[in-house]
Amino acid sequence: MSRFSLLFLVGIALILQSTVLHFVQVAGVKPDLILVLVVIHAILNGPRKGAFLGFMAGLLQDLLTGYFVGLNAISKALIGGLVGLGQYNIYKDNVLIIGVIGFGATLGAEAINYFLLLVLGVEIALREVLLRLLIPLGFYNAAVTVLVFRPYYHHISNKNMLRHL
Amino acid sequence: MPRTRLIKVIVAAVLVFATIGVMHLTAPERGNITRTEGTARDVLSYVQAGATTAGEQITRGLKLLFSWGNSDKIARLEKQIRQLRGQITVLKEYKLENEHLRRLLDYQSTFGQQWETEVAQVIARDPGNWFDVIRLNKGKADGVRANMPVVVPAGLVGCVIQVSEHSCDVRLITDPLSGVGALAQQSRTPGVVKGVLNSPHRLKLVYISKDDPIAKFEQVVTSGLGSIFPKGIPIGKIVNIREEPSGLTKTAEIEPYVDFNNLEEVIIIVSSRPGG
Repeated sequence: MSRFSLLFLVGIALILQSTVLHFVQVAGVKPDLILVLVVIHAILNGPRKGAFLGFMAGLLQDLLTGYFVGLNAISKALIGGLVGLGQYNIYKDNVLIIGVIGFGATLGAEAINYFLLLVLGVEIALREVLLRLLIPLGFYNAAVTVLVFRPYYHHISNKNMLRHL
Repeated sequence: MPRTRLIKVIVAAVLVFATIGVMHLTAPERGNITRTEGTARDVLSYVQAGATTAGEQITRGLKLLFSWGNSDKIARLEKQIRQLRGQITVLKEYKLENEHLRRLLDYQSTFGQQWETEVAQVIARDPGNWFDVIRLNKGKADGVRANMPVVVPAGLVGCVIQVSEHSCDVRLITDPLSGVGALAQQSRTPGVVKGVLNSPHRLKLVYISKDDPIAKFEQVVTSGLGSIFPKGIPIGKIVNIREEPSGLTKTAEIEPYVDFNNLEEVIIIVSSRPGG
């Protein structure tokens, strides 16, 4: 996928997250489309590209909100890099594996955010974070990752096949 | 460790520490933002306003669709009835919107003598799940400044934390970082109202002394302490009281009067009129 297409997707995801996704909240949380995009990109393109997209998309998200600039850049870059390490080991046709990766990546990213916020002096009870953020968001993001991954993967595979013909 | 790898690790560590430094400098309390940030935010706020309106219209459309039913084989009259019901839903929506705007106007005319106010529209929300922050379509050009209280006729909404030329960010009282000086109206018990992560229907009143005679169903209002929120703005009612494990203080659960999931227009208290 070209850089322009990726930037376009990140922009759309950011606008959706700050506007209409509020209307589809489940258990008080809305899906993190940027993280889903980073995870999928990392699975298909490896750690370097995953981390780079994570950093840039996270930074854009931070700049949009205007406070704690760098919070999402760090967490999403780390998760993009970590998930990307499994590029050649992940069986991409197994929906369950993709869902588990989406769930784990969300837990990881939000745990990093929690730690960074603690470093900055922002204290939120761990129980609240677990029950009202990590677990519901983990399941929600896992479902969205599964839904988005297949069409995205097939689109990329078809494009690559056409290129080799 | 090979030299190139060591350099990479050092560069990554420096990057992480530099980013943490930037995070520290850009904590929400800074109030004023840079001109570049402000311009970018104002440009984007038009796109966000459009997307929010589109979202509201889609929600409205879906409501209408569901009121029509989903079977194609229903009789013509039945279909007509459903269509009419759909129209009634839309009209009810307009009626509610009308009532909502009328209440805002009434509120403004009632409290206009006490406070100078500015009505603003909610155009976006924080894209993440950690903080409850909304963006409004009024900014410095409309006289909005950081730390101004924001209300709706039902009660307290939050306070302005950052302002650009044509938009501002408001931290809702449901945000876990929010803290509002408050008191239980009947028993005059003071405390601090704090938000609970991702819980728009729950707040907590903390730092209540163990011996204070606070009771269930008491109303909680702002105490006026802390110089941001005027005294007497309703917040919610107490639905549960529990003792803290330390045994020294109590915490009360509050059900807020404001429906934070459906905020469309809000009122910014731009200034208090002396003697009002």
